[in-house]
Amino acid sequence: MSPIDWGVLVIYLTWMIWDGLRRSTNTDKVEGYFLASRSLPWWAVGLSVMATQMSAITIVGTTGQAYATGLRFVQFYFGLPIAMVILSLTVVPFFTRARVYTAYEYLERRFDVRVRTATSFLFLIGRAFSLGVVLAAPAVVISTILNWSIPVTVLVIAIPMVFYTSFGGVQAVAWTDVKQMVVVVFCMAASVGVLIWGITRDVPLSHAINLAGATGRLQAVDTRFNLSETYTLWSGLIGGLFLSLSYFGCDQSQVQRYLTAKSIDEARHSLLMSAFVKIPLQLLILSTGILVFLFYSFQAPPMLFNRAYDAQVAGGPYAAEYSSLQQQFDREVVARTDAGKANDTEKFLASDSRLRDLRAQAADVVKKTTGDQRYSDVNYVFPTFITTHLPVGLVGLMIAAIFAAAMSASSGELSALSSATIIDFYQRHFVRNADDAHYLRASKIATASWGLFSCFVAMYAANQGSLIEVVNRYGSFFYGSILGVFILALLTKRATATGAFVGLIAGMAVVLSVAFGMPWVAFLWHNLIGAAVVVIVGMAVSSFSR
Amino acid sequence: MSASPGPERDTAMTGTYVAVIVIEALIIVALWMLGRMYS
Repeated sequence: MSPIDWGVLVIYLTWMIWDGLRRSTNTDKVEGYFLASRSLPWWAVGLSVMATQMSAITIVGTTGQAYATGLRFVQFYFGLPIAMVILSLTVVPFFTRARVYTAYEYLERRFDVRVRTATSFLFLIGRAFSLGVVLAAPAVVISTILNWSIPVTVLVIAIPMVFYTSFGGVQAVAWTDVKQMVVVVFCMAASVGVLIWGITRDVPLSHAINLAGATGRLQAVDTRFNLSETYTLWSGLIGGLFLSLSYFGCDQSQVQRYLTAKSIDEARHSLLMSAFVKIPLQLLILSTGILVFLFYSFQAPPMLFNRAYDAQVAGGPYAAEYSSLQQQFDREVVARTDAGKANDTEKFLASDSRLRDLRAQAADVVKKTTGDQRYSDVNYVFPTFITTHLPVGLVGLMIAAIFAAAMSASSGELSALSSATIIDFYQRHFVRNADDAHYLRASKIATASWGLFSCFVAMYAANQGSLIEVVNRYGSFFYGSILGVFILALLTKRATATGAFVGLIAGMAVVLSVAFGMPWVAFLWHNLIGAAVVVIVGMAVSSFSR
Repeated sequence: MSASPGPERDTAMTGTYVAVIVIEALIIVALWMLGRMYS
């Protein structure tokens, strides 16, 4: 990066943190610290809701996924708008009127302290580890781009994030999120502009789109009903609906966002903003990935985008094999470019297929040389484009946006962990009648402690691919079960505390069995299975335990 | 539901909910047609 890009990066991050803290008022009260005194406008809450889900890995990973497979990942979000409508009608007015601090607080009023503590505990365990992964995943990518070590990268992301979240509370989180969303959208739109300009120097845009279509990258909707296929219309609409209901309706990191809104209407508007914008925004990000593919169809791409092991491979026992693959790759790139310019779809597809094979063989060589069996370059496609083809200044802003995305996705989770720790555990079980100053001190300590814990998890997770997989699996099995408990609480009058508690345990057990016993069932379906088991078992047990 | 001032302000938004569902349906159909055009 040039000095100008470094300047843009430092100035942007400093301003984001300073302005976030400056806008944080009334943080000497617990309600101000955790819920912004329920005073934020809908658009700020809405942008904050979207920013919490837009992690750095969404920007680099989703574009990389679209580069390889096209638009099909958009189906993951098909259930979200429907979930937002259902939540606006049910949970939003309910939680807002109940004046709760956490989603789980309500479960004690409806059932008993056992159910509240169990669900809040599940949230804390799941979120604490996922926060580590949310920090680790971008740290791995950023460390390669900037040639920093992973611990240094984790600390550069985490220290400012923990600082502004500890001192500014949820308001600092929300206002930094607002800026992050604006910058991310601006940077993505600018990248699209640069990509289209670059592509149309070689071929007309319609011609390029035709090539993208020929490779299958414009096939967004898969109407087959196949439980083992992760992204289909049905897994997105049904599994995605239950995932979104659980995530936005029962996960403190999201519930806390809309509890900061001024009124029920403003909270609803904030969720409906996601309902309208989320799919188009994901299409923008996925389209960027496809445009990067088209761009590299006319500009020579590197054989592998993740260059972390270049030196090791060049000096390793398979160096000659790698070099031969590189020569074949270079020849095939020229053939594909010529075919693309001539609009010869058949030759273009044949060359593209050979290039995919060569890339796979090159990745195998890296795996054989380094022993890193999880080596992949999906997350490095977009960063490579950014650092080599964007104009000076925009590179710094784009890297700043990736940093900011890593921070805002983690800060929302950190604030939610702190609020659940203090409200559901510390205040409920240990110190019941202290003043605001006491709880505020405890909250800041909790925020800093969870931040420190997540740094340790991140540094460990960065080198442990299997741990990341375990955490992702864990997240998908507890979401559905927690949703089941909230369905029992909100939609039935007959459910008892014992029914909800036993149902929760049964739901977790069944989803765990499915996740490990039937690994071919795509994880989005775990949410539906978990919720259904909790409701069925919960109602059955309730009928005996009245 | 009736409108009331302050934090309890709770207005009916049926039209917005319908708009969300209609727009999503249109997006899915448009994406499906895009895929069909290039299949």
